[in-house]
Amino acid sequence: MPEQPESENDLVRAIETYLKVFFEDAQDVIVTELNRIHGGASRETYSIDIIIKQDPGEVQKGLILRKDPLDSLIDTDREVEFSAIRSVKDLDIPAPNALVVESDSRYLGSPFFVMDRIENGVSLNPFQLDEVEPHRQSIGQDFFKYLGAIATVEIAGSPLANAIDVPEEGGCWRRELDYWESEIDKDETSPQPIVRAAIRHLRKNPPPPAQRLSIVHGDFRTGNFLHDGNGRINGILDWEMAHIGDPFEDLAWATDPLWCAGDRERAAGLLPWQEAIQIWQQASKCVFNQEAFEWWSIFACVKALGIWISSAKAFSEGRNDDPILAWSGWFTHAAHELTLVSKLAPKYGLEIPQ
Amino acid sequence: MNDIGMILQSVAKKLAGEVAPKLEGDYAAGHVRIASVLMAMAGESWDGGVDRLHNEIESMRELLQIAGKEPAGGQPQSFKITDLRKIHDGLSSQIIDLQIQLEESDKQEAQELNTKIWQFFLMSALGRMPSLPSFE
Repeated sequence: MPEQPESENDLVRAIETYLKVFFEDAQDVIVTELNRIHGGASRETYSIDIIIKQDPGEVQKGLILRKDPLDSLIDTDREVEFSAIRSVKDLDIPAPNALVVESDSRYLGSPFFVMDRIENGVSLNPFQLDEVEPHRQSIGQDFFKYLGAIATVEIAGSPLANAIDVPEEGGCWRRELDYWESEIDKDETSPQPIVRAAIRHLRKNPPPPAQRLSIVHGDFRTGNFLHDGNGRINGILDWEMAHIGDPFEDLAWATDPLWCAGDRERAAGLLPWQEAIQIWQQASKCVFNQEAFEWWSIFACVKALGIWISSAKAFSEGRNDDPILAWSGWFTHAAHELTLVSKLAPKYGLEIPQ
Repeated sequence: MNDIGMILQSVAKKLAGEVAPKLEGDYAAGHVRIASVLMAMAGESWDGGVDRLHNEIESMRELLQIAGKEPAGGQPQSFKITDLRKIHDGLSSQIIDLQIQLEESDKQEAQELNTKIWQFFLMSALGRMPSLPSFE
């Protein structure tokens, strides 16, 4: 098993050695600042400042390093994340510039990839969405525009299509549901009647086939973008769950109540629903379909519960002691169970006062 | 001093209000913030944890009995949460199996019992939902 850097200094030296080879014209690379960013439990995420010494002069650069931890919230391949970012590179979507992916663990102790840091980006806490004011509307417009734009990326020949399988239009839903059910089968530490009932419901009531196959970001939501403080989104982050599938999957995930503290009046807590859907339709070139949206909204809860169940198991077994996993396994799990019941119980005869 | 819930809530407030700000900019600040939230949630659930599990166990037993099933687990060895949870898990598995049967049936009584199960899901999900601490 490759050795993990024992200290931050060891990690800095290892990064310098690697980058000196990567930047071919560099005579030397010096890391001047390295800070681990909190919250990226699926990858160890570091913000790095470097100086590249070359002939003539030197260049300063800000980078983000995403390194595989011993265990994470989500089992994904960093090649997928790298390929997804590369797939939207030449489009009007503010994804980070991906520089290098390294699957060999001998350099930093585990696989990693490096991208340019988006400067002057402010993140938004889904539980403190009022901090978006006074730019709620313009950020909301960007949010749904970029969400739709991702759905228009040409899949054929894209780096992501070369890295993962491409489903049939009619089979997207089954593939995703099978995957997340298998995660729950693997990781549940106690019986889960609510999510099991939801999975059965989804199988008995499949959605219409995807209007088109598209890149699905997989975790497009408040908390996973940066804004410039002046009302514009300048970074779409966290592409590790990207895949090819139905654009409604992203729309439903992005508007899940958890990511907007239960705001029912506004989609994603940002825009009135009608305006949000209109912008998304225009950008995605898809036609909004209530049946598809409802199926994928219930699926979003199942997927979320799959993640929370896995994170609880990793935490309880001591494989990852990041407290964010305990939070996910408790608070967000409870929130998504409640959302699921609220969506499904009326279909089985229970009247729930609004 | 035996008000464990109050102790946890009070320490959580201290961590969030005094310790976390001093660590701002350090990776550990995030851990402290999350730890304080978890501690507040634990404090909130302390008093009602056993009661909630007990009520859920009783509700599941009742649902199974309506369906003519023998509830698993018998009486708990104690009111320790670990003992109650074992019984709760056994009953939850039975509820999953029962609901699968009910969903396959066209009979009105089956649908009515399924609605009761969803009502139980709603009540239990509401009961398990922690408040989001504000520390104000």
